[in-house]
Amino acid sequence: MSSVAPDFQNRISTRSHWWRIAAANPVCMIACAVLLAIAAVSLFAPLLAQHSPTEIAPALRLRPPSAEFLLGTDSYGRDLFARIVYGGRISLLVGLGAAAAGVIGGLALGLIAGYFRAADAFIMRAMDGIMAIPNVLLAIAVVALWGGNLAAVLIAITIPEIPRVTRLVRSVVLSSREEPYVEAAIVLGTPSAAILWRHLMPIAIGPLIVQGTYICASAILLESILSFLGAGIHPEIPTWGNIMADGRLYFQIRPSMILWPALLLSLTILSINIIGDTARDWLDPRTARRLGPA
Amino acid sequence: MRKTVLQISDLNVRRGQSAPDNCVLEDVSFAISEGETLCLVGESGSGKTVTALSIMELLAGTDLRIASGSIRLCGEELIGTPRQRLRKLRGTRMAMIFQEPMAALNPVMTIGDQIEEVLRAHTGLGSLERRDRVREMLARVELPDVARMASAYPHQLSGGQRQRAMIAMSLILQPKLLIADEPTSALDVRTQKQLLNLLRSLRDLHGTAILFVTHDMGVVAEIADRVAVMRQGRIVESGTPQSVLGAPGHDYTRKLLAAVPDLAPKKPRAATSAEVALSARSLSKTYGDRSRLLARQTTPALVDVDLTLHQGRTLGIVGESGSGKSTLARCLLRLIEPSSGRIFLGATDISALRRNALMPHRREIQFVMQDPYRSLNPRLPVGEIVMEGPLNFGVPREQALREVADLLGLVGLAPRLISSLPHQLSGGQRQRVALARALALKPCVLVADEAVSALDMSTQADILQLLAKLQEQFGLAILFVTHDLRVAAQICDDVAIMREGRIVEYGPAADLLTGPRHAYTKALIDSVPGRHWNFSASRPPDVAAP
Repeated sequence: MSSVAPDFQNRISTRSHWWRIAAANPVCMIACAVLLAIAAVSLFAPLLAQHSPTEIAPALRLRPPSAEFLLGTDSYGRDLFARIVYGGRISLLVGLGAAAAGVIGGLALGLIAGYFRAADAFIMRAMDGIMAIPNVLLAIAVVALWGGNLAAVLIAITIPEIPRVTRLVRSVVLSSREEPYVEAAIVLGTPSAAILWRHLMPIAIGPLIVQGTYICASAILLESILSFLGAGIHPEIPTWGNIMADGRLYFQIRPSMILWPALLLSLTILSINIIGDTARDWLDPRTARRLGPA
Repeated sequence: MRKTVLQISDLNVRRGQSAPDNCVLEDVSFAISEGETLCLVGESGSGKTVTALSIMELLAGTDLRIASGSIRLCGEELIGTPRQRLRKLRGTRMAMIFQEPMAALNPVMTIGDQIEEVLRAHTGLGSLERRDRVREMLARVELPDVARMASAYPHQLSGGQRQRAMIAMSLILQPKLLIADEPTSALDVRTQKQLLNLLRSLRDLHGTAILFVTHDMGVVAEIADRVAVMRQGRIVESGTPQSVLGAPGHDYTRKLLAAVPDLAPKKPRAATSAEVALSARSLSKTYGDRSRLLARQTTPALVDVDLTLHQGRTLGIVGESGSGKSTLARCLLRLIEPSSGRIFLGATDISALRRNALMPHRREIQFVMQDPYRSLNPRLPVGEIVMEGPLNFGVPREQALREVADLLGLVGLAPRLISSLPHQLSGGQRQRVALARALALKPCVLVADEAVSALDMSTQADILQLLAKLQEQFGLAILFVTHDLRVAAQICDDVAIMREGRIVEYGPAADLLTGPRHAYTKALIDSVPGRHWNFSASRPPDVAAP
């Protein structure tokens, strides 16, 4: 018995085969590295950038790349390199924040709607109501109400995502609540909350991670759309969306103003999607068996 | 001398490209003549289906490949035949029917159109001729109301009718060889009997050679002209049913035969306790009365069911699919709400208890389900699964973990399996885990819903023995739901026969199985395949099988 229990605990607590599976997926490792690098650059932006990302210098506008301005300057003479590395902060924060809030909110609502039939109609009709409002319109309204700060933009981006997550989680719960092992748990006297947590939520995690990466990517894009429309974060604050919106006017003479933030945006979104895909495969015990040693 | 239709010699099938030890089939050889039925019998994983698929050349797309050997159909070598030719042969020379006809039929095409498509692909007949041929074939497989059947969609047919339609489709071009892969395993015994008769008469009419894959020794006794017993990719024994079933030469065959439960009921046991563990009084369940506005189409699933289960006894609920036996089990467990009636667990009426009040009683009545693949959460290790119940009732984790090891020993599992995930276990092992989970709460009543139906014969025998042992050890009262009269005869003290939601006959197993009074019970007993064979003694009886 003494030899059994530690082994058992070990298997449950440490997920050592995570690493073996990661090692078997070099593409995922590269994606992780890219994402970490982008996150590190954004985090340490004050150390990397020699110039302020917001200080306007009309005399230095639209300079080509040089030793002082690595990527040149924009139409207000601000250092493009500084703006891009600082811009990553807002963009990543918006992406992660919207994904986390959307997934958590949608997960909670979806579990309740799927498992408790009495709550189902009420929650789902409310979700339908939210889905009926175009998301850009809703975002503009929220920003008009609370101003162009980060919190308002985050809320504006997250609200339209919650119904989608709720519907996804609800459908997973609905199809799994009749599974024999859920019936077995009811017979074992497992409380509803524990059934949701132990037996139903893990099934939703796989599709949720994929949905989460999608939300993350679309939130970063939506933020840039809002910035472009002037309904997002104030234009002087650098975000990749703001930079691209600025650069759009000068595309013919300085394509790099759009190119660099777009490249970083694409790399970020691609990396997030690859990581999400790999995680989904790993989280499904049936595909995990095929992918790596269990 | 009848013509040989199929000749397989030294067939070897391997998994993957290299590794010579990955043999799935090893030196399989047999032949089938015109109008002959060869039964390929064995447990799951023995290579029966792989053999059938090899003949149809349907292994492409799997990681299996034919390494060597020859398969000759009417003298023509199939291995290495171009795909064009194979496509021609499938349907015209050889055809296949499967276990689950619903999966093999296209749900959005009518039966008639699907059968007609075979004719359109392989013959140059005009549309009127095709329609006549389809009608004729549907009549030949004894489907009622042929015109209606031809324009029906698969879901509108019963399981037996679907399988008849599949047979009509596969035989319409009069192939020389029909491969039937467990065609009756998913059907009720009475339907199974009718289908076996149909196959027999079609075989005699057309002189079709039939390769009949099955795991059921009873079916073998009913239909086989010759038998080949497979084990781990090899044919270990073959011959006539009289010789293989009557005087098996191989240990494995003997083991398979010994595992077939005897239809003769076990000796009645004296009641050990008069204490009632579980009883139901005029329990009813009606589906579909929720909507009060629209047409009230109600389906009674249970009608006035009364039953009494004593401590330490086993009550069998026997019936065909749709008879309401699973509904009954779920009502008794309060997984679904009965429409009316009372359920007594011991002396407590649990039929009207609310969720919280019911909770303390949950531990007294436990459940083992049919499908060991789906009744365990695939993401949780065995240890977590087994100790879920005790943890719910406040047993500390450390203690629960210690008890798990004891429970695993009790159901005959190695303690090291405590950290395995369900997919790493065999079907029998999973069912033992499900048993351990139910026993972890030390219940008085165990409800087993088709608990051995998804298992191989020998595993089934092991689990039945285990159940009997546990019953003796803990004085469990077992409500055993099954469709299999043989299993019921072996494990039940009392039997209730259900039909259309009602109990039609109820009494001690020994009386009911030897002297059934109700016509339906008689028909059920009469349909048990191979009931003229005494398998446990592994010898042929005095009367020859019809």
